[in-house]
Order: sequence, then structure tokens, then C-alpha cells
Amino acid sequence: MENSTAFDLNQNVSKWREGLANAGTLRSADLDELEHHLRDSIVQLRARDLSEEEAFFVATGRLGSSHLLSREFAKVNSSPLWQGRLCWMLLGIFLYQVVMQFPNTAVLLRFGDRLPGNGHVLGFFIVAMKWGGLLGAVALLRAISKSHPGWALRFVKRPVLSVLAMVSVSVLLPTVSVVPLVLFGTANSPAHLAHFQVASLWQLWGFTLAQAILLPLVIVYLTRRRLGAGTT
Amino acid sequence: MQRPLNSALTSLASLGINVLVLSKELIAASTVPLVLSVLAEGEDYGYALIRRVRELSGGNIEWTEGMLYPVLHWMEDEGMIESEWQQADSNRRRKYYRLRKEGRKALQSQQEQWMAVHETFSKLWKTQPRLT
Repeated sequence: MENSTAFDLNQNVSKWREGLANAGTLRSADLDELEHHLRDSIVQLRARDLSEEEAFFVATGRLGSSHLLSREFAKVNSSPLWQGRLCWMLLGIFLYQVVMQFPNTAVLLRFGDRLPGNGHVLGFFIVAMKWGGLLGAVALLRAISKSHPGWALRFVKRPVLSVLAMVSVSVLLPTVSVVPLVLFGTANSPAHLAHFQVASLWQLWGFTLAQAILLPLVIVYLTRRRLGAGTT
Repeated sequence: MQRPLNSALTSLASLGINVLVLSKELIAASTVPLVLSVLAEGEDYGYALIRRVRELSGGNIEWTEGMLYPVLHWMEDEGMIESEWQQADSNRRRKYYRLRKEGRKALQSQQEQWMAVHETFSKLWKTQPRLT
């Protein structure tokens, strides 16, 4: 028996914390918060004449068993994390594609037959507008996730519906935006069509570059924001 | 050596005072509106929030303290409240929770619902002899 040894509060607190951590459903920020609570509670109980050891056992008892806590934390911590990331990624890609359709069509319609026969200038315009559109989409996403975190969660909670909505809009949108392009194409001379091809090449490369650089940045930003809410 | 909880319970029992224990279901239903109501008074951290509710209820509402945190985190995900770590003193940091606009709306709707229940009971119980 070792009951003559002095009670080491810090050692017992870290052992208790370890036990909770092993349950696997608490994040480190959750553990921090509970540990601060435990220590506050011990200070209060000590003021009421309990020994350190007694205070520790009463305080841990009041917090609840690790079995109970891990079960309750599992309800809020488990699925939304990865599901949330996935949905944010899908939403980002989707929004990006939607926004990109409009500048493309608009530039071709507005300037396609007016710019002095140079597909490069036209292509540059389209790329510039697309980058602007992408930055706008990022700003919009950021604003939504800041001002309405509830929306984000509702979106996360119904992944099937949101994916269905994305798919249907991404099918509808190109179909609609092809119509003016076809009209534009048939109404113009072969020279304009050549410019159009050069412009398309431009925007393809500018587009791909934007996708390669900015999409991962958006995803990292969003996932870090979600994780960031949980770290100390 | 004092054992506050046990001694308090036995002394209450010896005085013939019943300790009211809220049912699990009622605890579950009232936690969110209670948190919203306390936070409507100003930002607070978990431990102080629990103490406030215990004081106000005269000890009738005893939460399993750790269970409050998953509820707080859920409420945060729902956008009712937001949280922020703050340095309390030299080596103590606390996570403060504060009400958001959606939380105020939720509180208002909860108030209406609880008042409707309360008023119904009041009318029903007014005509009957007091139970105590």
C-alpha cells in the first residue's frame, strides 16, 4: 500500500486528462477547457476546507465519468469535422465554376467582335475577369462562414441535398451559357473564330493556374478556420 | 472534515426538506434556454455559468458539469453563441462564451414557449390546494 505518499495534484490531473484523451472523441481544446474547469472547481472546494485529494475527487466526480463525457463529446465532434471539410471543398469548387461561367460569356459577347483582331488581348481580359471572379467567390465564402456559421452547419448536415443541388446547377449553367456562345460563333467571320480559339487557350491556361494555386489555398484556409476554432 | 455535498443533503433531509431533483428530460430541455438566458446577461465561461445556474436555482438544478461543454460547442456550431480564449490571470486561461444574434432570436422563442407552459400550469394549479 502506498497511501502514505503525498497526493500529487498535477500528476493526478494529467492522469485524469490522459484517461479522457484515450477515449478518442475529445479534441485537445476540449481537454484544455475541462482541465481549466477542474482546476477552478478544485480551488473552490479547497476554500471550503477540503484537502487537495478530496477536492480532486469531488471535482472530477462533478465533471462526470470519462465514459459519459466521451460519449457526449462524440455527438458534437465526430462527423462534422471531415464531412464539413469535404462539403466546404465541394462548395468552393462549385461556386468557383459558377462564377467563372459568367465573365467568360460576358467578355466574349461584349468584346469578342470589337477588339482589334487579337485573341491574346481578349484572352487576357477573360483571365483577368476570372481571377477577379474567383477572389470575389473567396470573399463571399469567407463572409458567409463568418456571419452565418449556422448556414455552414446546415449545409454540412445535409450533404446529399447539397451535392444534388451542385450537380444540377453545374449541369444547367454550362448548357445555358453555351447558347450565346453558339450565337456569337455563327454570327462572326472565320477570323473572329480564330481569335476566339486563341482566347480560349489563354483562358484555359489562366484558369488552370488559378485553380492550381487558389483552390488549395481556399481549402486550407477554410479547414484551418474550422480547426482553429478548436485549438488554444 | 467537511463533506459538503453529503453533509448538506443529510442536514436538509433531517430538517424535513425535500431535495428537488429535476428529471433527466427536463434537464436536457432546459439547458439550452438556461445557457442562453445567462449569456444574455453578458459573456461568461463554463465554470462560472454552472455556478450561476446553481445559485439562481437554489441548488435545484445540478448539472453533470462536464456535460455542459458539448452543449456549448453544439450551440456554437449552430451559431447561437461564439467563444474566445482569454487570459484570466497569470497562468489561467478561460474560454468565454457570448451570445450572437441567432442566439438572441433562439432565446426569444424559448422564452415564449416556456412562458406558455408556465402560464398553463399556473392556471391549472391555481384552483387546487397547494401541495406543500
